[in-house]
Amino acid sequence: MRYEELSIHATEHIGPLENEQLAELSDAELEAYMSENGFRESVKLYRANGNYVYREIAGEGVLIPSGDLPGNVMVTLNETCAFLWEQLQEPRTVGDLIAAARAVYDDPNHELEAQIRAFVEDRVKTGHIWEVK
Amino acid sequence: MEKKIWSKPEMNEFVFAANEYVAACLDTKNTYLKFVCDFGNKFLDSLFDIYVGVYDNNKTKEENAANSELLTKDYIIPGTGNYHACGDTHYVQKEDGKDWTDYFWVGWADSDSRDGEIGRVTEQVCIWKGEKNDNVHVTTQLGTEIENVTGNRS
Repeated sequence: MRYEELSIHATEHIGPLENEQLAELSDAELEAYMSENGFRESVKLYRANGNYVYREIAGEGVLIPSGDLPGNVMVTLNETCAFLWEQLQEPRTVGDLIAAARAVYDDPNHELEAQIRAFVEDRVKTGHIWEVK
Repeated sequence: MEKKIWSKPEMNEFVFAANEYVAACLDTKNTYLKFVCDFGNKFLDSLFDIYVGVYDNNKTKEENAANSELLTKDYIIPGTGNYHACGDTHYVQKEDGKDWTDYFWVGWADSDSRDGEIGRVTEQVCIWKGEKNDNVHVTTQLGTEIENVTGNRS
């Protein structure tokens, strides 16, 4: 077997059951439960498109295209976006991003999680973020 | 550690005008980024202030200036100076493993530096500071438009 580097990622708490209830399920029941509640989605890994070079210019995060990307487009990032971009230099689940952001930011309007989900979904479509697996 | 307040993550794309020429060429040993410092030549009556920074259309020119680094002040005529295209073709020697982003700065230009002139902001330019890092040469096309071409330096 091929060795794979060990990695631990956060996934969101899925489905209605509490952890104690999950622990009592059989393997087959747990697999069915996870399948029904979108577990596959929650373990997807994402990373930043490596063809962008990140720079800070006058205190603002900027992505500069390289490689095969169109050379005449530049992307600016606000602070939270730059934070997520930094996190995505290594493969991360959406749960990883949410956990990392919660460690650094207060979320008085309870919008952090939904906005990170939308950000990842949108930026995968635009090619700024790659799905790793 | 005090936490910051979360705000919606946002990306904004800017497109460079493609009206100046940049290319790279190779001789037998070295790779060069070749470009013509001709930004602003179409405004022959104008001088420019050149800033390092990203121009934000949602802010005034004055606010953008406050958030950017004014290069011409220190690099052309210390204390007062303005940029004007020198018109020369420059060859920037490129080391292996580096790309244009290691040699050029991203910025913007303001032609509103003459009394009575209507201001013109060019939102995206790329700046080379010269071999001694003491000058300002500007173009508006960079990125992957810089292609490696095999041949003599010319």
